[in-house]
Amino acid sequence: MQTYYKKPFWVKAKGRPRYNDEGEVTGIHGVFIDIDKEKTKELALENSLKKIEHQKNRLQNFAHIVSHNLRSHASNFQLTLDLFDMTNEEAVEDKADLMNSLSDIAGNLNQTLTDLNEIVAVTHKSIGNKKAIRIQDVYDKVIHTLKNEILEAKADIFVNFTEFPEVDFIEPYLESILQNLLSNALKYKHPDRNASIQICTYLDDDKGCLLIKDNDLGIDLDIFGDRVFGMYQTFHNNANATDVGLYMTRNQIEGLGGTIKVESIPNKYTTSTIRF
Amino acid sequence: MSLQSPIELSCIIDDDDVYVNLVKKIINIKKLSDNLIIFKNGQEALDYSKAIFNNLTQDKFPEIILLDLNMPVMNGWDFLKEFTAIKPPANLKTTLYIVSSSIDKAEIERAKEFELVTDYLIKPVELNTFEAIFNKAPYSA
Repeated sequence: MQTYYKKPFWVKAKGRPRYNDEGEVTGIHGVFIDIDKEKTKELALENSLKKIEHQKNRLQNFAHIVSHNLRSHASNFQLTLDLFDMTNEEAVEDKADLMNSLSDIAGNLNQTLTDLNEIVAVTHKSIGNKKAIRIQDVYDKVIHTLKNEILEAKADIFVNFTEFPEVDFIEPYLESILQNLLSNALKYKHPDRNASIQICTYLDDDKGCLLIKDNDLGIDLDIFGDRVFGMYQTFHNNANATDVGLYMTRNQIEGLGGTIKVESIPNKYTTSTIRF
Repeated sequence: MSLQSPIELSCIIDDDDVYVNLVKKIINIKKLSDNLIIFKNGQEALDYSKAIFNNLTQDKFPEIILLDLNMPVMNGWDFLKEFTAIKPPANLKTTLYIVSSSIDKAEIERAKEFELVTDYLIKPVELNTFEAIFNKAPYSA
């Protein structure tokens, strides 16, 4: 309902039909009760619960990654030092080998910590930092960065941002998201055909959405499902597939209140849909 | 005490290059196994196993397998599932250990569901444990 000043508010309607002498319904007799305060509180609570559930899942995921990856590096460190002790003084080559191992491990450790820090940073970015961004501009930047990969994949890219040209977001994140999705589409292109990618934006129920569809190798979601967004997950034997990739992308989108969904048919196509 | 014959062939299924190299060194230094075969993920190990079971190759099947859980393409769990599904011959003499950095109790419990898994070891595996595994080999003469 609306107040006199056109401000909407929640009401609960209770009523009873009125009958005439013949038993026909002639009207309704009832009341409207203003439940705006209660309903608003209820919705806010539901919203908080959803956010908390979300955060809990991300936290569990994060904790699992910390306990697994950091543990791996620490255990390798330990093993290397143990071997060092076991190696003869004269086995200089072996000792040098082990030193290289230590340096590799240190590098890996630093990388994992950097990745984890990135995730925490996104989680803490406040929604107040959003600004209106022209999607075409960000797209142009990304295309420039990926121009070599695009040439290599002999990719045809079709874009259309006319229905929803601007979005309230954080620019470096939008750039990182577009770059990651596009880069995946190019990396996992099907060996038998040139990459053909469509990127467009549209409005769905008043919410801006971005869709990117390609004709690549695809992923069997029945098997891998939600693991698509797990950290360090790769599904193809592709040398370049390092990637905190999709994990970060989802993090960045959800951290700012959006959602991302992936659909795919193996060997046919993959579609990623973002709702801002 | 009877002398146990050394392990002829053992296998590591793990995508962590650093870790695999270290284990290789340990096996060499302590002479725990004559030969070692390495797979970077479950898929490679599965293909190899299939080839052997179908008599497509003269290669032997490893007597000891150290299986990691977190690997790309096909992880440890999927490998165990698929491996059980291809029905390895009943007289296959092999001992499989899960070796993982994960201390998740749920995963340790899950390992018990697979008859094939002898034990769940947590990285870093101590040198004594390594030696015990290779010397214990229940299937040697």
